[in-house]
Amino acid sequence: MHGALRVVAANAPAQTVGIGPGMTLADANALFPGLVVEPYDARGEAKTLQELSLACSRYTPWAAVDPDGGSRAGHVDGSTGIWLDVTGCDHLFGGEQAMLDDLIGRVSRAGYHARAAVADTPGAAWALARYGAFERGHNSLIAPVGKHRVALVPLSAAALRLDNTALAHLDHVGLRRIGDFVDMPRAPLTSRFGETVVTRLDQALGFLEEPISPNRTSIRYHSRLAFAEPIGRIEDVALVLEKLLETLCARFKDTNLGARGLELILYRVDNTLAKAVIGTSRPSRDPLHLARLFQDKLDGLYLGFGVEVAALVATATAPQDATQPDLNGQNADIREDAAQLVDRLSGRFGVRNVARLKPVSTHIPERAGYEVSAAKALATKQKPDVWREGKTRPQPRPLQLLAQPIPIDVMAPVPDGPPVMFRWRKRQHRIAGATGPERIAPEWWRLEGQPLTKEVRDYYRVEDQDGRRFWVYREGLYRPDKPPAWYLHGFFA
Amino acid sequence: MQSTCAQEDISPESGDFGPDPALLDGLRRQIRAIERNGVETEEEETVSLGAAEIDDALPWQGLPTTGLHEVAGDASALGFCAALLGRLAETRPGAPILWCQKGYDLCAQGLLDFGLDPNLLIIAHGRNDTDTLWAMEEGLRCSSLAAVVGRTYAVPPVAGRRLQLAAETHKTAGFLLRPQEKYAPTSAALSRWHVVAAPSSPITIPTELPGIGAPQWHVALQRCRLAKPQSWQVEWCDETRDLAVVADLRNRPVEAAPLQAIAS
Repeated sequence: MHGALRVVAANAPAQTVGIGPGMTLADANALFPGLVVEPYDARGEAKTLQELSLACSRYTPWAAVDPDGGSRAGHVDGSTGIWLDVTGCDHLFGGEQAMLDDLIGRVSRAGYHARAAVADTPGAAWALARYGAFERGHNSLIAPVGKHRVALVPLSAAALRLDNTALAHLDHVGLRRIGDFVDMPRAPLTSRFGETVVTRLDQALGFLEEPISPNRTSIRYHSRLAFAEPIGRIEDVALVLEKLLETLCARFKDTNLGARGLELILYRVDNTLAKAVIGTSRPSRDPLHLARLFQDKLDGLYLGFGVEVAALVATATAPQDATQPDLNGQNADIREDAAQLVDRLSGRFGVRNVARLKPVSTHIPERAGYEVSAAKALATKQKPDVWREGKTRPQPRPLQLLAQPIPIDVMAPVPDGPPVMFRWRKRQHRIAGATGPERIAPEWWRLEGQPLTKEVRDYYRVEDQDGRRFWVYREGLYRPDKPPAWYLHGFFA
Repeated sequence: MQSTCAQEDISPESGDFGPDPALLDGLRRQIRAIERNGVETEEEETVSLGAAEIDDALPWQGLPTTGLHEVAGDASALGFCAALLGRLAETRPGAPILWCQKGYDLCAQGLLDFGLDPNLLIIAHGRNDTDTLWAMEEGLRCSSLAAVVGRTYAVPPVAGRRLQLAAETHKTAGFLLRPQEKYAPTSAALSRWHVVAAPSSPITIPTELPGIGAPQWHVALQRCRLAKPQSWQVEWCDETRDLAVVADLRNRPVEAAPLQAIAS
């Protein structure tokens, strides 16, 4: 940036030589000629940070990657961070110090250098983690409740997340530490140095709210179980899932909501996650039904060296009406059972492969009915479709319609007439009777997109000497130079 | 004691001369329960097969709706099954029918022609026979379906037994549609049918083209408990949507003659 390659981060031995973030690469090479240089991978770093913050959600659901750390234009700091809002979570881990030790321990075991600080406000925590005075051998710092101002005073002004120009201005005037200007009246500060300084100061002190947007929105419907020893068998996971489902569904009972999507998250010992996701077509709070939907997904989970914490989260909820029979008198239980069956089948085959038939008003036979995912059809109440019947019914249609018509060899005495014999699958079928032709022409009114059939089709219902009945067609109008092309399209009963 | 033999009637209802009807019914129920391994059922619900002669050949006077049945054959077997399902759906209005198959070759209009409303179908496409059989079992376990149909090739005996048990326990009808040859039939089914196409009825109205009349099928009952294997040749009537058994003698030319006449 700024036209030169700059160092983003340097490891501890490099820092002892004097190489730090912000220095140009040329200067760094001059300081230490045998420097090992790696290109900066912003995306990889962001991805790792995201994973790490997800793993940190074992401590609190409110974890987010720090947007102010890392390398951004004008703010080369070289350090990246994760924010965790641990209000009310520390007692689960035996206190703030124990929680921090656990966190630092995990991150170090994963191979990173880390420092952590806990304070009343995000700004103060950021400042303390980066610029605070850590005791030798300790990587964590806790500002006692209410004492964050006292902790902030001796820190340098850069701890307020200001950019380089603001820092330069402050330095020019001689304000190098936070304590130098923390008590100054706000109005002259704003007019002299800009609003950012005052905003950051107020955020650090707690006078302004600073929201952290967590990785996921706060979830009200979730249940969680932690184990004394990591579990490694799928059967145990199934038992745990039952318990989690009972707890979660008990929560739903008091409201009128049901779950439409559930996610089972297993936190493995090596700080990674395993997930299983299910969806339903209708909101449900039946633990048995939901457990059955998870059954197929459990086998595909990789448990690694063990699972320490299991959490179940409702990713989508919807109001669930009390079941009422509808006006036809049809019992709503039938619809509920059918919906649950569709959920189970969709979980195994995929939502598209469990379908209902819908009519389309078209003459082209292969497009006259199409499949619609049954889950979607059940989620919305629809009037039953009307298939053409009675006087509007076309000629009889076969029971089996091939998706792709098969070309056949046909002997027809008259070019315009029905065949007398055709060969299919190495067998000859002599035609004993034929009905037709039924002409189906391409739909010229469908201007958008290509019509499926470019040519006219003349369909015949033919029956061979054994009684098998087929639906064949000749494609195209009569042309004296080209022999006509015949296809087999379906079978009648 | 007076002799009153001449005045007593000897109809079976009088307790002295005939067996007790209540006792007989109890015995019949016990026998049925033994046949079904202890599952006590009341009188079976049956569905007609479309022709009175075929119904009479079955011990239940119709096809029982709580059990697994197998139909093998070609497209005619599909039509036979569709007609049966149409009649079954009338007895349980509004209940959907689960249809499990691998391919995508069902034509809804064709099914409607045989009396089966396509709106009732839930179609499940598995990747192979195992998936289809699994889906059938899931459907049979859900007791609010009208019927479950599966089109498979090979059915392992264990799977067939499981399907039959599921159908009986949850009182749902299951149908297995198999291809004509080459695959071993299921021994667990209550009844096994074989339906293939037969030359259709001749059209009496003379037309230029020897057209196709009402479709005819060879329907064979290959295996059924307490019934003899039998076969019939039936004709499907579009208007009344049922079958009529036709006599075996047919007067229909063997050769396909008149087409050549038109050409010349």
